[in-house]
Amino acid sequence: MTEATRECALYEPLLSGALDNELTQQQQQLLQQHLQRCEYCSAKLAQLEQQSAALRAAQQTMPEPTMPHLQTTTTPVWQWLGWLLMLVGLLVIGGWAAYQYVQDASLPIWLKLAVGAVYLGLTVLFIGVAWQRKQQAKTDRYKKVQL
Amino acid sequence: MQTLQQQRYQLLQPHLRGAQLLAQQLLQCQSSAEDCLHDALISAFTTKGFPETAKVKAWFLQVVRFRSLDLLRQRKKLTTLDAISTLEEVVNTPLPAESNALKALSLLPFAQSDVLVLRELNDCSYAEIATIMQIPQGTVMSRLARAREALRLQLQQLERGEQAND
Repeated sequence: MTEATRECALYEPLLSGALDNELTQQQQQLLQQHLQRCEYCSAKLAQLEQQSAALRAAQQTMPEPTMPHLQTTTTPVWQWLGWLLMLVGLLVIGGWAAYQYVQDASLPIWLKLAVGAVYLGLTVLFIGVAWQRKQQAKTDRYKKVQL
Repeated sequence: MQTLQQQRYQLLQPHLRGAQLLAQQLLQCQSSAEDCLHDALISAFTTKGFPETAKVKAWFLQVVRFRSLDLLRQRKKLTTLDAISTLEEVVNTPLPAESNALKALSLLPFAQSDVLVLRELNDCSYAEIATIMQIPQGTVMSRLARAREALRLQLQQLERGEQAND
C-alpha cells in the first residue's frame, strides 16, 4: 500500500459509507474522484471489504441460539373443540335438569328455594376462587422463573 | 392456533444469533449473553409496546443492548465491592472464536465493537444503528469508520503475532 496523504483522512468515513451503500450521490462522486487518483485508499477499500466479508462469514459458522423452553407447544384445535363440546353438553343437561326441577309440582317450594340457594352459593364461591387465582397469576413476580 | 408468544418468537427468531453476538461482545461472557438474550425474549413476550414488524429487529437489539449495559453496570458495582473474584475469572475468559476476525473484534474497546457488531453481524442500516445506540445518524458513519480502522489494525497485529509464533 502506498502512503496516505493528508486528504485521505477526510475520505476515511466515506470509504466506510461506500462499503455499506450508505453514501449520497454527491458523496459517491467525491469518493470516486479521490479513488481514481489515490492508490492507498483504493487498496484500503479492498482491505475493508475483505475484513467485512471475513466477519460475516465467521458469524455464519456460529450456532443459532435456540430457546426451546420459550417455544410453548401449540394447543391443537381438536383439544379446543373437545372443551367446547363438553361445555355445551353440560349447559344443555344442566339447563334441562334445572327446568325439570322447577316444574316438578311434587316438591315443596321451600325445598326448591333451599336447593337453588346451595347451587347459587357454590357458583358464587367458584367464581370468587377463579377470580382470586387470576389476580394472583397476574401479580406473581416469580412466574417467569424456569427451573 | 398460534399464541401471541409464538407469533412474537417467529418474528424474533431471525435476529437471535445477531442479538446473542451483540450481548456476547458487550459482556465478554457466553453464559451471561445467553441469560441476557433470555431476559430480552421474556420482555418481548410480555410487553404491551411490541413494535410493528418492520421495526422488530432494531427494537429487539436495543432491548438486548440496554440489558447488557445494565448487567455491565451491575457487574461494575459488584467489582467495587470486591466480592466477585470467581465471577471475574469467568468474565475474563476469552471468547471461543475460531476466526481471526471475531477474535480481533472481541479485543476492540467496547464503543467500537458495539457499532461493528450491529453493522457487520446484524446487518443494521445506519438509521437502525442510530435508533439502537440513540445517536445522530450522521455520527454512525464516522464511528463505523473509526471502528473498522481499529479492527484492521487489530487484525494486522494478530497476524503479525501468529507469524512470529510460527
